[in-house]
Amino acid sequence: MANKRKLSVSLGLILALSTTLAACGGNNNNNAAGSASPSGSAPASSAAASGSAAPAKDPVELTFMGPTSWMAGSGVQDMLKAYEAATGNKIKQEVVPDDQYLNVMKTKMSTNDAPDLLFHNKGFNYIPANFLEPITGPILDRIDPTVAAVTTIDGKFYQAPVAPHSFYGVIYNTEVFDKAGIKVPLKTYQEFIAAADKLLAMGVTPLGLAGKSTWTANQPYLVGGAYVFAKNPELAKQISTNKIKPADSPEYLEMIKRYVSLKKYIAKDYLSSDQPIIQKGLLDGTIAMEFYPDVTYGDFEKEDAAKAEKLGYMPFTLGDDYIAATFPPTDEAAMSIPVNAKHKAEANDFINFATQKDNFILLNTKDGTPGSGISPYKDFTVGLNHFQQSMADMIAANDIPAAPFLLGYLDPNFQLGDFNKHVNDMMAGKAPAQALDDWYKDYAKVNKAAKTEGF
Amino acid sequence: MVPKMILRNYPILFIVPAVILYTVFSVVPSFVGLAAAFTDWSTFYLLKPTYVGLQNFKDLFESTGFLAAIRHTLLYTVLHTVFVIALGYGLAIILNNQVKFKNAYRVIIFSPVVINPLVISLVFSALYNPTYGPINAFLRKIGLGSLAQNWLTEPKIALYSVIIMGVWVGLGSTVVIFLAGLQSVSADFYESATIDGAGGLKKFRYITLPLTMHALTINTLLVLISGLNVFGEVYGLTNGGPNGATEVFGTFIFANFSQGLYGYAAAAGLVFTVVVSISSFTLLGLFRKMEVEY
Repeated sequence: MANKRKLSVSLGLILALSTTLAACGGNNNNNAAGSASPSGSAPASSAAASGSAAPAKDPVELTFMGPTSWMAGSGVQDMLKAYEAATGNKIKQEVVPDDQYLNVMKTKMSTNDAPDLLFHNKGFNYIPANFLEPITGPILDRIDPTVAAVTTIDGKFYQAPVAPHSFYGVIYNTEVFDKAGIKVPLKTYQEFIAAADKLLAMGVTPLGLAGKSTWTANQPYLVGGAYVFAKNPELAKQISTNKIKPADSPEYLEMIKRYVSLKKYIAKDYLSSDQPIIQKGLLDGTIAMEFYPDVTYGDFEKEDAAKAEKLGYMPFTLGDDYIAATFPPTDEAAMSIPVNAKHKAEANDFINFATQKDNFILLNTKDGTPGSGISPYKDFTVGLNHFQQSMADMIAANDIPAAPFLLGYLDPNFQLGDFNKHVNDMMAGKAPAQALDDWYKDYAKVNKAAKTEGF
Repeated sequence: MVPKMILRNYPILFIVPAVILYTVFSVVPSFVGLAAAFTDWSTFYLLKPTYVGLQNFKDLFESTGFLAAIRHTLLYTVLHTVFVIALGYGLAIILNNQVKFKNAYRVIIFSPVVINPLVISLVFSALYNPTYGPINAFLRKIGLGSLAQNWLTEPKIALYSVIIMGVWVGLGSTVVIFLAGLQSVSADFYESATIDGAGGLKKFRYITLPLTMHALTINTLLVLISGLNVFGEVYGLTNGGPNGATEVFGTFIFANFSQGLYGYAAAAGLVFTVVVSISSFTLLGLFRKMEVEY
């Protein structure tokens, strides 16, 4: 019974996600979430690699380029070996340090030294479509059309997702919440603040923030701030095309002020906190909540499985009357083929191979644990972890939609610049309007270089 | 029979290969960098840079990040130079006297010079760790736990933590140059001064300082330039963080270059070159006036 319910909730979640993606897909919305991290870091070397790829008549050597942290994953290596075994083709790996990856990749493509396959975060913000060759084959029938729409231009599909979708929301300690008499979900900013005040009065740190990583502070902003663009998509378009500066939009500025108001609920020494410290606090109940992606459940489980079960996952908003279960529509791992690749046909076959169920699962296996989340492909599902199930149950029970987070509404060609800098500046005390103006100068500079419309 | 012209100019033939290599790998890139500073050359349109005049420089000076990087670089340079020179000179004077185990001290002081700054950064990261680091552990042990700090993550003190490491790294070569300068001063001067009744302070003021001014000049210039050039120490220890509190010229240029903004990064590099040149020549002129002939 419980399993059936979980299944129906999962299916409902997939449907909700698909519907929402469909709504934004026509605009090719995508974004960049800041730090590049292998999304859906997943599981298991046990998965057998299957695939339709037949042994090649004349084996070729494909060059496969990816960032260090992703390429080191056992799942990636296992999948590459599975491909070699299935086809007879060889894979030559080109591994580039994470922080140099996009730069090196674009330089190689611009200088006609492109590899055959690229492994990167999905989104035209990372690699513009004009650098890429359209992907064809059975994948076009298998991929969820609403997911495909995000990286499709003029009917041509350019980047294939190779990791499940995940939600960005709030991890919370259910026991602490029960003790404080707080009911979830907290559907408005006011409800959230009231809950945080209660927690503060109890002597619990309401919000944990692993400030040692510079991207963590952007989570409440990206998740909670989505309401601004969800209610006014035109504003996202205007900001993306330089018709209005973020600081000149009263609703954007108000959202930012609300975001900054959360600071009083975060421990003062957050800048020296790293995730293991926050994780321990959440498990022990000294910290009540943390904004962190749902794929991290495995880390909590590894630390203390029993206590991890007592954690829940919920959506969050800084708005008065809008809440959604937010996800980054473009940020997960993807593969694509450079327009000047030497073995385009074989590279295309490789992508079709890598996105089949067993290979997809193998690719997303980490330390023997399969990845979890929402599958971008129609012909198979991927398991949900405890956080994802918790979110799925909550949004199903409360009729909460799934929708992109804040950056998901911006124009696909818009370059973010150093987004995290202005977020961290505000956390360090810079006035919101000033921080937004500084961010504007930074992204205007990059968009001018990229010749983005309006800049 | 070798032509007379070749015989007369044969030394030139020996330097031609070096000149060609230097030109290809140093002079040409410098001019390319100079030209790039006036273009929008970027990874987005790698093969189609267009001339943008002074736009990159305008953007630079409107960027709070760049202005902060200038401030941090200057603060780093001033404090680094003052402490390295003062401590280096003092240590060299001590080591120039008959001190027990002075060779061992010299080795210890010089050792950071042969270690890569990134490796040293890793060591200092461990030392500065707020929870497990020996510095905070020691402070807590002796009852001064209130002085324990988040050395690298507190924006107000992170730069000073980097400077402390930079001073330690910079001392070695400075002491060696000062020692060479001190050892070049003839003992006769000191003997004469002793006969005339001069004390230690007067000997330093009227003999040691003027006669080692050339060492002081070269050391100050080298330390100043290394301070302005600081990169490895910051990159390894904080990478410009927390929240840009330790961003310096080097990390700023690196970050923009990594973003693929080559023209913009080249403009920052050009400004940086001008600042280093002006500082160096000004200081050189100043010290030249203070040197004495003997």
